[in-house]
Amino acid sequence: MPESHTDSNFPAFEASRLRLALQSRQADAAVGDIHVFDQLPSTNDEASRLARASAKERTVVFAESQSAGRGRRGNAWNSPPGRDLLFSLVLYPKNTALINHSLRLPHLIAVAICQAIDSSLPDKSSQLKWPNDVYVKGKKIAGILIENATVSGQTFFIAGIGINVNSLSSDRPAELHTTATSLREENNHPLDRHEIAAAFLSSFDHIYPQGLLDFDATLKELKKRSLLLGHEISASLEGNKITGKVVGFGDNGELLIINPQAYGEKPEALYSADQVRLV
Amino acid sequence: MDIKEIKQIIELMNENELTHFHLERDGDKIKLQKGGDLEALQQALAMAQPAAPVAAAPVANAPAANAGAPPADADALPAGELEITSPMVGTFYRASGPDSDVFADIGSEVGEDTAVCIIEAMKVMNEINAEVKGTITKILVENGTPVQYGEPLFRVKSS
Repeated sequence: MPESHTDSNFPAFEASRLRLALQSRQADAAVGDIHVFDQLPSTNDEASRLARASAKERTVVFAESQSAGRGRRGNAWNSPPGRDLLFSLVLYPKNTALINHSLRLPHLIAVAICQAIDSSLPDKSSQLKWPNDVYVKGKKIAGILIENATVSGQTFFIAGIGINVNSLSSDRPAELHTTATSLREENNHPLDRHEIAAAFLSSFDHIYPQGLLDFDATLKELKKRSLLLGHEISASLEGNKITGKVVGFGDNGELLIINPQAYGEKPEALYSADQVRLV
Repeated sequence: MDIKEIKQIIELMNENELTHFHLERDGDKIKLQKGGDLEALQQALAMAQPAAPVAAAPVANAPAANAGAPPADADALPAGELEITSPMVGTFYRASGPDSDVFADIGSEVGEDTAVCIIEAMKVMNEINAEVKGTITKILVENGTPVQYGEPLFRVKSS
């Protein structure tokens, strides 16, 4: 018997309850308008539509379910209705210096997710798999996809975020049963999605926008939480493969890899990859 | 821009071991390539250089396309043709997803605000605008391939 979409354990996501959760954290200013939809093709698409129509800074769009949720390059993002957090945040960086450092944005968001969910994890153990997937005990729990555009001189960023809160492995496609987890699975009880969303928005508010310019604290978190640092990896991009040992992160969070045989003694910087695996 | 300024830029590139330099100012356009790091020069010239929409440090040991430091574009563009260059390091995509229509094709009319491609880096999908007005005559990069800062992506017949 499948669980119903909403019941007392899984209340519907409501803007008013998110506001209350933010107020209790003294983080009322961490969001602009809050939009909640029962279903959307993708929260990023709706947030992008709003951003192009001059939405408020930090407008946030939530959906109980997505019919065309996506990860990088069209990979599907699967989540059962009403269980997890699926949302997109609209950001209008105020000046060129912030825009010029926008490659750091996914790392700020990933670190803010880790900080937010750590308080709901028994051993506060979230980790990061470059570039910005969040893992707990070797299983993926959250993902990020950021889009940006400049329309009539106004640059905006849409940060699309999925956090597995109350879904179970039985809710997911078979191929994700052993590779994904949720906060509920890690705690053995359901959690309030409003509290998790408020914790993230509040954490992000603490590090953005200044963290784009002062990246040291985020870089430290990237190193501390990295699943890849110090390990041999294999990464592929559109059929090309790169292998080597991860020795650190560059100024914008790019992955630095050493493979003396292939690239010499200087580290190679990796900016994007379809798949990154430990070898 | 006179030769003295270009020499100063080359000296700065040499002092800082820089790979690429690209500046457009008051109708002047200069592009230099050799070995090293770009960001230090960008900082050094921050007062003079209009900021790119998104700037990024280049690949640490990116292969230099040209040895030495040629003082300007090695391949001169035909009269009336312009280039759309990559404002950042990343992967070039012609569409927002594998099943989406391409942003622009040969023959497409573009304006300054027309999105022509995506450059992806670290899961940031950066929609790149043409920044020039005209008709696309050539697509210079294969879909899904890595591009460097300042690398030409499209050729455009100016209108």
